[in-house]
Amino acid sequence: MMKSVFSLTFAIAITAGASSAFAVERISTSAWAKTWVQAQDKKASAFSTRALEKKVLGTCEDCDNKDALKKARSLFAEGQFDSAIKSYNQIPRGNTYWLSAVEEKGWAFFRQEDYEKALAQTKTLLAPQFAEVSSTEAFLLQSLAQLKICDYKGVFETHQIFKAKQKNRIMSVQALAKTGWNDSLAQFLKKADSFPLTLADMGETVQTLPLMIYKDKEFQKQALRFKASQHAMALTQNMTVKKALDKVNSDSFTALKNRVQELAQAETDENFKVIQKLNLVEVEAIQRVHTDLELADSMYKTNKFQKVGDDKLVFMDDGRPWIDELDKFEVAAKTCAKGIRRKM
Amino acid sequence: MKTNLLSLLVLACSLTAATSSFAAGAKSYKNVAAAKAPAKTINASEDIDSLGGNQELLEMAEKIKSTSRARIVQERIVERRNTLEFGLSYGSAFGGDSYIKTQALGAQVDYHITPRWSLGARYYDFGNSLTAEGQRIYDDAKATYAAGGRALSVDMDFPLNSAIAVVNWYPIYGKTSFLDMGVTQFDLYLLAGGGNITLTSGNTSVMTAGLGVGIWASSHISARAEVRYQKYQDQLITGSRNLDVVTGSLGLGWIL
Repeated sequence: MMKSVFSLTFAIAITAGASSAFAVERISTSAWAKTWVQAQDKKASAFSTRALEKKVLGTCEDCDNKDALKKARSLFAEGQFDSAIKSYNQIPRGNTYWLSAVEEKGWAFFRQEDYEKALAQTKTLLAPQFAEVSSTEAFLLQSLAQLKICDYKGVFETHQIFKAKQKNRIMSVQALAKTGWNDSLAQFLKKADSFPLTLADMGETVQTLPLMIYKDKEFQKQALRFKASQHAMALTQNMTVKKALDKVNSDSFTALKNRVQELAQAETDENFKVIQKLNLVEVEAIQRVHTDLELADSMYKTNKFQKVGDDKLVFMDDGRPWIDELDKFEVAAKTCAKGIRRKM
Repeated sequence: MKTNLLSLLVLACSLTAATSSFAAGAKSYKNVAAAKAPAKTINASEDIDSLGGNQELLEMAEKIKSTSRARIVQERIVERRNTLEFGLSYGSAFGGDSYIKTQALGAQVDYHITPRWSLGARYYDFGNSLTAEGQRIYDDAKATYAAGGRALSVDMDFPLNSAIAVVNWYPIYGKTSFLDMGVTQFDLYLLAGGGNITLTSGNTSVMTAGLGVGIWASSHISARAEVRYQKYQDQLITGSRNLDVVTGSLGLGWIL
């Protein structure tokens, strides 16, 4: 458990650290509410967070990287995988969109049938630092790529890691899709104050909330209204104002829960599809294990690592990469036996 | 096991069609708002727990020759190709003349030809003092002379300075995390060379060989810890004598 918490903190630290370079001005809802209540004492006005929402959520945050990801996705959709990979590479390590970029880059390599490079991406995604906060698709990518190179042991191991690292999260998000509420959300709402939200604001709650929930505009909007009205209620003595604030607070809470449910449901649906596919991959792997068991060693093609110069440092992967090693993986495979007809 | 296989084969038939859409389908969820699929309930025990759960199959899979290996390829923090490194060091000599305690203040320059090889020039200025044994002999001789006895000569040949040229070879590299402040790369190196050492008796040649660690703290700052063996001849009244001296030093450097 300690290691898991450490890993998550580690992941948050590197993403939060790198994101700070793109940070926009964050505004504290408690400070805003205090100012609003003071103004209210002088001149009565209706409670509205619209100007605040526009200020903190209306501006384009981290536009360059968002655009790079958008462009990469567009190129990916057009089948221009080399160009897409270049665009994905523009997103710096640790940026909010970096994990998505690494995963999608992996899919681009997969579509190019470069399974070793696809696996190099999943090595980062499934590293202990990220395995609990990566999307389920990262596991599918690794499992499929391993199936493609006939690394069946790898397939089973990936599925075991999936089970160990993602099951709790999947079940929590599924439960969240029904209720719209869990302890993590309560914990997050209790601590949240400044907007726009960052991954660091989510803390360990990211493990049991939908992925990237903190980037969702509607979620942030409702959370901001909820927190601002809550702070204002605590500060004002005027019962009429308090009553109006209570309604805003109640409405935003309901809207927040609804949005959380929508996001959780969308992720649950996606998780369901991924789990089905993982099961299919496992079935195929099981079948192939039996057919490939007796094949001679000479039938396999062994790829070697590319030779690197003295200017680079090479360390063998021990499954516990350091922070500076993430996204620096290279994979060499001993691939499927030649002359075996495969259906996929 | 056989029954299990048959059912698996049936399932596998559906895989052919399904997998072809994997990669394309994989990206389709990105628009969260557009996801309107009906609610699905995952049975964790059946759908997730069954994954990778068959130990027997895992053992069978281990016998399959296909596999993958992974490694990490990183850039060096410091570009060490045609690069100059200037440094200062402070060290101490061990062994040699048992009557003399020698400290060395050094200045050095290394030209890194490649990350594996560098050529260096080093200058050391020595400071000498008597060891406890040296002091005792000296004091005894002085006391004997003061008492009217025959003065004994305390014969010593102090090193004053030396200038040497060395070749460094860096065969081993690594990295370390110091107090969680960041990752620092280092190289272990061997060095060999020779030059001139000035003793109180005059100049003589010196040969040296040793090993050290070069720590590349940033792209411009380095630190070195080095242990060298030195061999030279000093001149005593009784004749020349081979000295085997080990010096240890710590230094800081600036990389251009």
